[in-house]
Amino acid sequence: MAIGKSMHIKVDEGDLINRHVHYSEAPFPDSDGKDTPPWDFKPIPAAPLHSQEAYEAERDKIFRKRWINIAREWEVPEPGSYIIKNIHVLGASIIVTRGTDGVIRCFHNVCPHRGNQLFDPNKRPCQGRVRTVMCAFHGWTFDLEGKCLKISDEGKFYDLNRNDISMLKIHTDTWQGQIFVNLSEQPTETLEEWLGDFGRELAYYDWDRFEVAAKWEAEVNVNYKVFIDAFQETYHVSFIHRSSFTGEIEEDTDPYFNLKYMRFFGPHKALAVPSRGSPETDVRQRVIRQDGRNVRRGINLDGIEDWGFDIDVVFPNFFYNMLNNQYFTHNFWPVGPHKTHWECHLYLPRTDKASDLITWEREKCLLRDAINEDLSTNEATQVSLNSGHIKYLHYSEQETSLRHHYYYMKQFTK
Amino acid sequence: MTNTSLPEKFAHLEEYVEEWSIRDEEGRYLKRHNSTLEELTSYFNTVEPLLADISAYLDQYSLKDLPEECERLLGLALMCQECFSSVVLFKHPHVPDVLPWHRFKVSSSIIDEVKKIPTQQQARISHPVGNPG
Repeated sequence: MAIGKSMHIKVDEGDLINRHVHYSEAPFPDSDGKDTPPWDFKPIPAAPLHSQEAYEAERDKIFRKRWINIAREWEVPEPGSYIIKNIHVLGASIIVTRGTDGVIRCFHNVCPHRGNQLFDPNKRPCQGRVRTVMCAFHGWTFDLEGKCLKISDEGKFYDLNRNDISMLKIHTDTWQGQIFVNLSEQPTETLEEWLGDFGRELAYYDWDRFEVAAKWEAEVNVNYKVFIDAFQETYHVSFIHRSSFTGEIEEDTDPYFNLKYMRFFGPHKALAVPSRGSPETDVRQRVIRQDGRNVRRGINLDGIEDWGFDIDVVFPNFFYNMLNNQYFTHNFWPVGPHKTHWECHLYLPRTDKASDLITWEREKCLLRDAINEDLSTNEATQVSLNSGHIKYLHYSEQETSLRHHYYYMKQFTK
Repeated sequence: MTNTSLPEKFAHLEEYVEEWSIRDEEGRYLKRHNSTLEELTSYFNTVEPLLADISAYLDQYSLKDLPEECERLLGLALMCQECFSSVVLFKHPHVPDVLPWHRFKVSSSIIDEVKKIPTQQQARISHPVGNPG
């Protein structure tokens, strides 16, 4: 089943004040062939943004059933490399390895003998390089493909065939250097099917040009949906970033900084953020680079003139911010209904020149500051939501992404 | 020859090396947020006008083979960029109205480790041979 089928909402040029949204191209897989989105436009209940019940439903039916990005190939660079990922919402400690055959595999960090942790964080480093994995409890030993190499005092076991024993394997696949797992026993679709047209479209991007340049993290007292919602609309830009994005906001034609297009691919989406500033008018000078205009290689899908960057969202919690000369990703990890662990990785072009590092460092620091601005409203919002006094939220056309996420969250937790 | 740990041409920046030449992002982030605006401004105003010269000088070398004194010079230049928004935009060491800076964690160590991997080993990722050493 292809999940990420495309639906396209294009924002009309030249109609920026009194705009409307077009729904065109392929209909949603579940919209009965109609050329309209499958959701309605009523106010959205606030409860899923703070309730324990909603958290558990998403945890069990989305995070533990669908393809989730947990790591990156560069974190396990060589044969024998491993890294441990303890992910609360997945209820799992996961060993990510690169086997001697170069293939990336994931296993539960559990010895199949009696459940001891193979990599106990108190006793072994969470990252490194090994030839084999030996359980510290009774010495059972495995290779990096998960095969059991040794059971200590094997002859004393009853009807136990070593060939039937292996580390507990997790469904694993990679896409453009990103490692995804699916914790269900039998996934309902492959990663390729899950990403669908979305994955095919983005594959055109020049991924190999880039390498990781920064990692930023924070633990924020906020529901993960409140958190991601601040990252999937540009309605807030004229307010939250008023001082930092001067020159980007056109007071006369587009005072509320509208997205240029929204493309929905099943539960995933691509959103185009405009860029109008120039180094002369924008004191932040080129945090948003403008040389991606008319590029259309996995970014700027409509070839828009004042294109700034794309926000590409892999449902439910993995975001790409795609520019022509850099990209950065967000992983928003729910740690309960009111807490999120956020991880951001920045990727810059590979270079051999110190001058590039020096130029990019200023932009990198500006981006870091701007992202911290994006985090700033989270905790206060969550306190309000937790009080239960606000029952419904009002989403404008500018906030269609939020409605889209809510719709798929409901679909998948049915 | 003057007694300098920097390339001769930039010997006059020697007094800043110990405190301000920081090669890892986490260290620079900490330095910025633990300094006063006066300290940041004074440092920024000294180094910023030299950035073009520093860049041109360093580009004589490949990043992979930067001599030690150039690494120190690069550390000074990167720290100068770290100061930019505090000095020019915010007039304060910290970004206003955001999550307290110490809760926003810069985790550069894992990346620095990855970057140390020489090209030869990188090549083995796509064409692995034999057992890991």
